Amino acid sequence: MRGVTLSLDALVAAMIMFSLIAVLGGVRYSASQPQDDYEAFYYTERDAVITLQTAKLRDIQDFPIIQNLTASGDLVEADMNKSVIDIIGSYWAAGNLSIARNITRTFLEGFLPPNFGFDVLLDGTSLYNNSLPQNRFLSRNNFLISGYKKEAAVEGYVSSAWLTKASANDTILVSISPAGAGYSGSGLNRGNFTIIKSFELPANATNISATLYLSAHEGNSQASSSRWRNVSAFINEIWQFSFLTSGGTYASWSIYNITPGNNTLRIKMNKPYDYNAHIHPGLTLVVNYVAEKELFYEEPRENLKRIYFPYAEGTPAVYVTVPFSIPENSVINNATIHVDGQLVDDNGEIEVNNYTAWSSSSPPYNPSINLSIKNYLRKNGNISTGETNVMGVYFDTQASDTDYLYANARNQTRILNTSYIELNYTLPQKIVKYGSLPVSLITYANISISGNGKQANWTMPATDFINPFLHVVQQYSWEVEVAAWHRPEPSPTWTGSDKWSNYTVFSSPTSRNVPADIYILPSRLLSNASNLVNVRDTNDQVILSNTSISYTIFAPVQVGYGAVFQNQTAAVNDAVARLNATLNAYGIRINLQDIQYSTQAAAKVPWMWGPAEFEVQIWK
Amino acid sequence: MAKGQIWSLDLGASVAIFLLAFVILTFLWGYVRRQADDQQDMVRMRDSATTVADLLVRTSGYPSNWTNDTVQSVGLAAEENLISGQKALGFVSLNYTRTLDLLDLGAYNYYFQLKYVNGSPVIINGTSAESGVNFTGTESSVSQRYALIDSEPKKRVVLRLVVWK
Repeated sequence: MRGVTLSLDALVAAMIMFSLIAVLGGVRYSASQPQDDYEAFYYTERDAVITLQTAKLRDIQDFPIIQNLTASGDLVEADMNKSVIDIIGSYWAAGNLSIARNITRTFLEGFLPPNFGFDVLLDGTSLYNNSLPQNRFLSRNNFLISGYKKEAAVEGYVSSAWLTKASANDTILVSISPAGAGYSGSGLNRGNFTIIKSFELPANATNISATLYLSAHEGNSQASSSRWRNVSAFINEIWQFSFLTSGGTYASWSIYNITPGNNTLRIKMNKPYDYNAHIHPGLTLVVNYVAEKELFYEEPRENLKRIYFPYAEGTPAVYVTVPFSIPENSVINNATIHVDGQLVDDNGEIEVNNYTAWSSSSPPYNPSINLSIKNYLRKNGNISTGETNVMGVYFDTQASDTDYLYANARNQTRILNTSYIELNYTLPQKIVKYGSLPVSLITYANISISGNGKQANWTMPATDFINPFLHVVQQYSWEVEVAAWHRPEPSPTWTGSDKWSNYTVFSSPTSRNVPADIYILPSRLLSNASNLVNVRDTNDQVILSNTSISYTIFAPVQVGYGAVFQNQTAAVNDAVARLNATLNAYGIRINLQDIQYSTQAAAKVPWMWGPAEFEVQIWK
Repeated sequence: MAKGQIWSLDLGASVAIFLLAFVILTFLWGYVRRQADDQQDMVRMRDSATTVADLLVRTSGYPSNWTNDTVQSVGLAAEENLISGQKALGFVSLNYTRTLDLLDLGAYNYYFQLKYVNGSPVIINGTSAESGVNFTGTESSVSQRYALIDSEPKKRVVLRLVVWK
């Protein structure tokens, strides 16, 4: 029994040992091959990206694709210092994938090991795939990249420029609203009419040029003697021109003798053969000049403004119309008028819009009238609608035909230029524009519309703007309706009740009441958009194509850092050219000596395309 | 007596079987140990090849403007993946035994070569950019890296390093 036990122990021990032998005999120690492969893939992917980033276009200019692009001018010398990946990314960003792929393939093919499969992707778009089948491993590596656009230097100088002062061209419009010697009806009551308007140019104004557009009406064509039908213009009492009217006349003349500072324009109309002497809508003196201007604009919130009347004298009567406006949504605190007249024998009347603010059949011989006109203004409660108000003053002189014919002693009734409208209002907010140049621009309403009307259609610059005015020009006039809108608003239609269906910004309050300056509500216009203004006479009198829109924009007076140039001079020239181009777009011409600039070396210019995900996949 | 005979036969057979198994087991164990050592050595060789190739292609060495007299650590890069021809020339002219020490390849041999993408060797100032000893051993590991050389214009090159024993 003991022997049996022993033999069993030996057999069990032998079985264990043979089992170990069997196991150890089957053991094969293997190195971690997949890890080594992935490591090799990783380094290869990394090498591909870094060499694409390190190699410059200059280094691969012997590639056929690069030679073709250079020959076609698509790549230029400035591109030669760009990295290859910049150029690939630039074409990729521009959507030119075939060129991006061609450069990638040419660079990597033959460079990376042929036994590896490759795919190079930029934001998921394959740029190069060598089409080898994938058997075992696939490694992917992603890099965020960005780059410079082709044709842009990457190191060098950048420059900005700004105006230190602005000696810029500008324009003022000196307009006179309808005025005249009154309507006598017939007979021999006709007489002279004179109107004098003062205006001021900056004291440092130079290069002054001017044109007078005159729309006047007196007499008719029956008379042959010029003394009966003679209109003359004077600047600072220096004669400019005379012409013979033939009914209503609209014509223009070059004007001289305007000086920096205060000036006067005098229009003298001799007694006509019949009818009466008067001015129609459109009498405007356009003065162009160059002057140094402030590079800011400011309007306080609280305003007290006086608008002075022109001096006028006429026989057998005299009347003037004076338009004025209070900015939209301003609080009207007070509005008064002061009117001085002389040699008034008979009737007198003052109208504000369609209200009679004052009238008398026996006014003082030399009236001095003070009135509050606040209640007659275009407003909602105390808030201005912004629409143009029109004030008319009429003084009559009573004289007989005998006085006129035989004694020539008839009075010249006068409205003095000490007369004024005083407006006290509060703007919704103060207006302050620093670092910009206020520039007056004019566009013409020369597009014909039905009913002898005109339309202005212009693109407002992408700047803030103020003071848009319509200046209506007519040979004969009755009442006008004005509508203003901007795209994409639909155009208004002319209704049967002689109104625009929408966007009305002005309606003549009474007949023969067409002011020289009609304020267009700024809320109806839009910067950097197509703006339109329609004007039409309710009696279908012709609106002439010299009808214009004036407005003031705030032009930028600086440009920021621009492209990168290889030398400082080129960078400065570029900045000055950009500033010039910016200002020229607004019709502003500047002096080079008024430009200051700043230049900086640009060693690391921020990326211009991307960031994009650059992915390299390798397999085998 | 019969009891003693049975015992002696069993004992003899058991001892014989056991000794046979023990001898076989000892031999196999030794074989497995040698194989494992060989593979680990292969891994170390691969690591060395990868590390040294990476060192050469990505670093500029120490000091960065090293010469054959001042070099403490070898690197060939003017910048990452841009090989300095001057440094490559300096490297291939270094004493082989010294480079083994500088590259910490003391247990192995190596063969270094720079070649262009068309397979032709990079020649710098008339000297081919290759150094070390061609493989004549039993085991080797090859590491290839892809870079540029700072010629004018820069050209694409393949850095090939064979570490062997």
